[in-house]
Amino acid sequence: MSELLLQAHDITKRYGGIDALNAVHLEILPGEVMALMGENGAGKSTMAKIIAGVERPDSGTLEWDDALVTFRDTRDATRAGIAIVLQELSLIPDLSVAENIFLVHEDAYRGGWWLDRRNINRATHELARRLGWDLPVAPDRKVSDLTVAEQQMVEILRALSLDARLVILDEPTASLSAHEVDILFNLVRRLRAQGTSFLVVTHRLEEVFALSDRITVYRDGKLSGVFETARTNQPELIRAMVGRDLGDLFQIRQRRVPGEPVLTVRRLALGNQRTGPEASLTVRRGEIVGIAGLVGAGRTELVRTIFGADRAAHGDVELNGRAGLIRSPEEAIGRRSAMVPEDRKAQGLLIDLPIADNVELADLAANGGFWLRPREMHRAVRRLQDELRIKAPRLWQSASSLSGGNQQKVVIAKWLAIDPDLLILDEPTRGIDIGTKFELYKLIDGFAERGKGVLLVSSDLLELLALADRILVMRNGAIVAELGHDAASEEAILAYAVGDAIGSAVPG
Amino acid sequence: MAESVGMETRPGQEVVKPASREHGRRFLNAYRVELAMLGALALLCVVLSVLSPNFVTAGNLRNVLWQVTAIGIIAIGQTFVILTGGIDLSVGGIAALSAMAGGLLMTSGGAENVAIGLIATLIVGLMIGTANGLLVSYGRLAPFIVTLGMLSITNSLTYVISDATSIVGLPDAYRFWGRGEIFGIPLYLITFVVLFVLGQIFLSRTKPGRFIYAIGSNEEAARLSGVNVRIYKTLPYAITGLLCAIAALILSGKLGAIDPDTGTGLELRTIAAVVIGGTSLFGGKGSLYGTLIGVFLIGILNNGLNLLRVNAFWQGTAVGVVIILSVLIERISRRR
Repeated sequence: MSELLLQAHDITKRYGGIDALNAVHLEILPGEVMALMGENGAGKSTMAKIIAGVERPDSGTLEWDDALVTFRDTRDATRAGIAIVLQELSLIPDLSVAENIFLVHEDAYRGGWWLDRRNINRATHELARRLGWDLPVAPDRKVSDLTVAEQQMVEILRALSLDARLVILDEPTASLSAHEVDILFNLVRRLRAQGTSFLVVTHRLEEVFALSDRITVYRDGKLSGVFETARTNQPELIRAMVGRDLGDLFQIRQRRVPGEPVLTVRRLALGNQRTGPEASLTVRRGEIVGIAGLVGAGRTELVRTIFGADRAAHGDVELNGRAGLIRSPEEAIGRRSAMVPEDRKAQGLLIDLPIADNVELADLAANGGFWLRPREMHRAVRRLQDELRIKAPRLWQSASSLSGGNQQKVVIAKWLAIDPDLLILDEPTRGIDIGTKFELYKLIDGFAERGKGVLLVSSDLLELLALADRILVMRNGAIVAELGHDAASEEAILAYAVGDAIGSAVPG
Repeated sequence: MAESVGMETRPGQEVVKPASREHGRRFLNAYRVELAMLGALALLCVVLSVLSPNFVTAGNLRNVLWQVTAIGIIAIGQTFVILTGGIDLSVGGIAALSAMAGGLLMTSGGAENVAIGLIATLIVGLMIGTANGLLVSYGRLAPFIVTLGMLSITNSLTYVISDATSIVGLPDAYRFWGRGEIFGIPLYLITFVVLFVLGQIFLSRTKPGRFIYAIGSNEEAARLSGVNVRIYKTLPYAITGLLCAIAALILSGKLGAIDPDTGTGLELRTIAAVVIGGTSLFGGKGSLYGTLIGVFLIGILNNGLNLLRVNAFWQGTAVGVVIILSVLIERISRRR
């Protein structure tokens, strides 16, 4: 009799001709936190979904508690004691927190029929208490009223309410602030002490070292290595994930002397505020300006207003010498700016349409005549595909067939096609593997090198510190600080973002 | 489906497959729903020709083609509308009102200026369609609601201006579109073929056509990519209005009278044809070829049931079953 809680053997899963998983293994002990790492397309999310019953493997075996099991759907897995929190939130927006958590619990319904609200509200409090967690929101709040971070906490609560012996978390900290991440990790440690195991699918190395006991690394659908966290280090893991040694992150940025301003924002107030903070900033040619801040600080709203996607109440946006508020993305593009939006699937891609159509779209809108020019466009698309190294076997297949990193490259390709002078990027590397991240960093720096301006919104402080020439910090809708490259540090940025600024005058 | 030309390669590699085989695969992949429905249509034809000896006669073929034209012309516009994620429930009403308005103008004051009548009909159809489009795109109102309201308005207005009476005794020149022939082929059929070809070229080879797919697939992403969504969302409704007017002229021409209840039921039949042809009601997926198949399927189904002397009231059941089956086929084919 082995000690293993879960053993996955020889698991293979194919999606339309591509091997997502190729005879991989995974082992989890009871009462441990196992991190599952790898580049996008390495297969980690697929494995997580297979274990949770969301997907079924094409071949291979799963052993749970030393017994061979087959999960036909997530209910089978749940009954066995496995719960999963996926990246895409699956809460029902119009229901309350408690209703979402206890949706499928049978004792939530009196007589099997009537939803007992008081009961589940109380049960939610009890659940939180049992987990030693201060409930951040009232159980009767509607989920759609919550912030993304709060929604993620509710998802986690829901998974934990199932008394699972294995909880799978897929990129759980994507939308959480540092403070909330701490709370989550303490929760995980407490439950681990009680015997619950966790499978954490993540890209974030700091978190892996902070939380996990062991690390499994997949690469290109195959098992690349299993490590004990205490006995490994970052370079070893990166090598296992990527198969090569990566140069230092901080070598990417090249020093440049910025040129003329390409963007000057003066006293811009966002659309729905009568009185409120006004933003002013400048981006010069050859400059990468970063925008940092906590979730909800207003970074996305600011850049969307600059791009004309949202309305402004008043202010001035001078782009490429022409002043005046930008009223639509169409106008922004006419003034040679571009924006890679925060949510690539919902805002950046036409997911059912071919990859080529996606890449052509902005150029077609800005420069296209009445008739399509398939040969020319195809050549342009292929050129961009080569330049960005987009891994897509067939350009006429729909964009949904691509991995996250390649999808993001498609979005960027779309914008490079119109050769903008200002490129705005909102969380461009969220949910993307390290290898592709580095490629994108080099791309962004190369873009600035060619004399363009870049405005980069990111929650990844290392990313900002590595790339940006200046970092603007936002809090509560206003820009509260500006840090030059040499003065900037994670502590300084966070200090301004959170609000206990040391010597609160804005420097420079 | 949008098409791109050329051979497929991976960056840095040689040509992986010969172009023709690759094109074949692409075609099968892009049109798999339509091909499935084509199979169903073929099956239906085979069954009917076995069951009824009158099915494969020239006279019956004419009947089928007439049915197809009547629905088909408007279904072209309905396809564009549904591809953008919208829907047009007012097509019957637009047909009736535009024909009636044009007809009244033509016969008013005793003078019978056919040209005025025809042009007025087309203009009224175009204007009502444009009104629909503006309300949907600039007004940001749900297409279902807008066109439902417009259906009600146009129907009622038709009765008002005509005092619920038909216009009969239409001049021959007016009737030419519905009754005329060129080299033995009915003009209405030629019209349909020309419109279909124009529509297909529009959809697959022009910028507005591509934008229609883009808006249907993800309107917000299209907007953020610089597409003027408001204009390109209005366009399908305007086109549909015009097509309704054309269809109304053909219908009245053939009939010899302009009835206030012209076009009754056209909305459901055109939507059925589009859906049966595999176009998704959510927008962004589908083709005119599919609509053509859908139109034929409905036309032949009705025709077949008539030939087999099935009680006319069963036709609704038959069409309904086909609609449901086709959506199932669409779902299964798209699952890959």
